[in-house]
Amino acid sequence: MLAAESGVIWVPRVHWGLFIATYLFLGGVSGGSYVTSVSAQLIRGRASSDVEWQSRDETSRWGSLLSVVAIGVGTGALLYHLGAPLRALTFAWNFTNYGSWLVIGTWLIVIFSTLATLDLVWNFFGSEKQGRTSGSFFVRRILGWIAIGGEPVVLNLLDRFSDITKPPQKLHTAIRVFGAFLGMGVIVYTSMLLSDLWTCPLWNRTYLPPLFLMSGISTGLAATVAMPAIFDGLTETVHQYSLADDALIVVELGILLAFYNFLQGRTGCMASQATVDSLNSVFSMPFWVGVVGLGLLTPLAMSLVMTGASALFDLDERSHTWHQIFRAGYVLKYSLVLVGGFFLRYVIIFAAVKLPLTVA
Amino acid sequence: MGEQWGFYFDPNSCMGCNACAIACKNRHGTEAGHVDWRRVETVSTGEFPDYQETNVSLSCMHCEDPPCVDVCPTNAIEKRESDGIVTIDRDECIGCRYCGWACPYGAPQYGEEGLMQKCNLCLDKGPGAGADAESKNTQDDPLEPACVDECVGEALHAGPIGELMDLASDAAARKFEQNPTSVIVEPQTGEEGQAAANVETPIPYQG
Repeated sequence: MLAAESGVIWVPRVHWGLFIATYLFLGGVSGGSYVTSVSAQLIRGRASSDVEWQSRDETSRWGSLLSVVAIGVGTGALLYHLGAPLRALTFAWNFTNYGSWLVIGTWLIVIFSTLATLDLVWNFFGSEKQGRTSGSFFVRRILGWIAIGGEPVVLNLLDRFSDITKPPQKLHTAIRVFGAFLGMGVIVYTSMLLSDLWTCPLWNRTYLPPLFLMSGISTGLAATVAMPAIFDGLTETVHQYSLADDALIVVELGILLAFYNFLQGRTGCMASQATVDSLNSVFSMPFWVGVVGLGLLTPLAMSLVMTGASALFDLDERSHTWHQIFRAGYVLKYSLVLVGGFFLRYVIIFAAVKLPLTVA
Repeated sequence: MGEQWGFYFDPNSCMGCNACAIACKNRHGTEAGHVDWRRVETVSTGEFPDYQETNVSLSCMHCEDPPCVDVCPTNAIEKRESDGIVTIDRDECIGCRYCGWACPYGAPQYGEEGLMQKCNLCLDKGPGAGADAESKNTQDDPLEPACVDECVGEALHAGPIGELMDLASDAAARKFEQNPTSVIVEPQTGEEGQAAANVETPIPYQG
């Protein structure tokens, strides 16, 4: 409840709940996973060893897979929220208001999802992928169980489809780079959808897009790089991506605190003040603990400790014990980044306060 | 462009009895709970002994440039050329609730089925009815909005803006000129005679 203030009418709000928060979060993870996937492929050639090449190759494939899974689940959450989900499936001819960010975003997601799905087929299937067994190829193993008369029909079909449709390597890379930009577009759209409205000071056009972009890439990177860490163990690539994530986290933290400071400084805006009040009362746990503490400061501190310990104490990371400790540390760090990313969307949706009507 | 229709509200005559809100629910058969096409808010101003309460009856303001129309993905919400009434075509609505966030007045409502419904100035009866209704300007016997019909203190009136202006004081008319909605609100006359109450549209926030 907002404090009863003299001479104002607080307008009922929160038309969106957990499903939309989840959708915004997964949209960010999806775009970020794809960006991470493409980046891993682009730096693959400069790997210092076969192990690192393999780690980057796996990272690239995991990102490709996760981007499709995340946008799929996210779209499911979005459709579940709708009053008439079946009508939304006819968007191609029913979504006629091209000035609405909801429509712009729908098309962005559709084009991105189509490209990412096609790319997933090229990355996991085809005659050259047969017999591959590294962690991400569990997809092939699972599909291989679907057999008719001993023949893995689905796998064979996808392999054949990939062989027929896969473009030459250079063109494939170019398509993926284009996809990475689309992925960033999807992340930014989730912030434009909110900040296109002027009714909530928390949905600010200046701060929300860069905040969501940083958070989206950071959470996508975290989800993607956690996978090779879980399946293959610790590599230099897992560590390097963690440092890149740290940079994103620092920028995100800076934007978030500047945004909070901005809202706090708007003393003449009752809705801004009410938003700040709610961030410090009802939403203090998800915001200060969930987003700032668990999602930003703790991962940063963990990375600092692990990086510092490696550098200062000359720890033999090849020893089994240290390897496992650091591996678990990075997986936990990446998990916390995801938790923080979710809480950020949760707070942005639930703590939004509408400008009140004034009676003067 | 037909003549714009709207509401006239005089807080000096409103006793906050909620008859308007109940009459609206009754006529349109909206479900119990929080589906309120019209609601009454009581606003307190000042401190004892200069304390005052103002009752404000609120519904869709049938804005000149409705933000709900701008964001609706399917163009289900329309600002009608014929009479200026903002309607929702529930056959086109996907229930995304984007309009709910866009509206500064909290007018869009969502029932169990999740589709938007709101005041249509009693173009017709029933939730969402009115999207295809004939213009108020050409209807033989336009329905008097239920809220106006049942208002005990005659605080609410509806009709073409030109006619409503005849009811308005100079102050209300001046205020309406700067008002982006189709609702004329009378300033409140306090006991001292000068305190003015007006529902102000929030100023678009420049981040």
